[in-house]
Amino acid sequence: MLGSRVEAEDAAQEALVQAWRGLSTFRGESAFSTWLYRIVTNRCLNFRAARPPTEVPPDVLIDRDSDPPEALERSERLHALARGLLQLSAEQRAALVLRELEGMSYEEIGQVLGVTVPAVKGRIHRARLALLQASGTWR
Amino acid sequence: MALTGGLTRPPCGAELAPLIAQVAEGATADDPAHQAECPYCQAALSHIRELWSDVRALADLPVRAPRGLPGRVLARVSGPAGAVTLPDATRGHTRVSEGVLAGVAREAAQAMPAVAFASVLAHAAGAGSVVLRVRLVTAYGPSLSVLAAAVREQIVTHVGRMTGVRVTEVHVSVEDLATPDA
Repeated sequence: MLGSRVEAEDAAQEALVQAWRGLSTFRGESAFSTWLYRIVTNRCLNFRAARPPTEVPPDVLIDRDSDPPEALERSERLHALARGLLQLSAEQRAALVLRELEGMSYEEIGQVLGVTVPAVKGRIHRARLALLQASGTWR
Repeated sequence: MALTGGLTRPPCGAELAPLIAQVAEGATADDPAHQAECPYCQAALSHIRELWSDVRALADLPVRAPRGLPGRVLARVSGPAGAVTLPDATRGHTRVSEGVLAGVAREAAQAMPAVAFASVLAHAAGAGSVVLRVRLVTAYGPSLSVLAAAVREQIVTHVGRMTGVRVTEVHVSVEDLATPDA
């Protein structure tokens, strides 16, 4: 979502504090996890709006148990993909991350982002297309 | 693994978006008959599948909560309480802590004859406003709905006048009755 481990930790911490303070505003209109996702996602989007992404390469965790050469290539590919994700607009990236990395349904994503299901689908389709079309610059 | 160049629309004229949806979502092909015969579509599909496997691999990476995150969050939520910043600051800001707002509201409620005891929690609600939760022990007798409304009115007026903070909500909960002999 943010492309930076440090920023993600900050966002997670701030979002949890905010959720705790705002616990009484949770009205049970959506699943608790969806409510929490909304707080975290909004925090990330606001953060990104205030500070455009830096050129710092994205942090990707590597599975250290794999074969070293294989792990290295995999890690390079995933870094490249993460850089591709950072090229998307924050709104497209948020929708795509919630869908592909968090495995949420279009309905849930709509609740998190506060947009309609067709709008979510549109965003995700455009994000996938942009991501794959930019894939030549991954490596 | 030796792919170069970005994904481009196949020369047969098929749209990329439906092909991607086919791989990413298991959507059905727009034109299965054409696709089965078309080498360009097949090449594009296999290119997409390979690229998409990276997305799946990224999704499968384990995510570990940062070390110490729960501790830091708890330190924040139990640390210094929040405060409301008053609007229309011209030469420096004025902040009123939640504890002060709760105290003012409590005094206002307890000054009412029908209120035997009041306890108040204040939550800063942003933009110079506060939400209050009031728990009451009331005298036996008056209509509770009338009393609650009166307490609400009294608190809003009093807090507003004394602190300049706008009270947006007052949630009143009557917890107990004070009997005359107690």
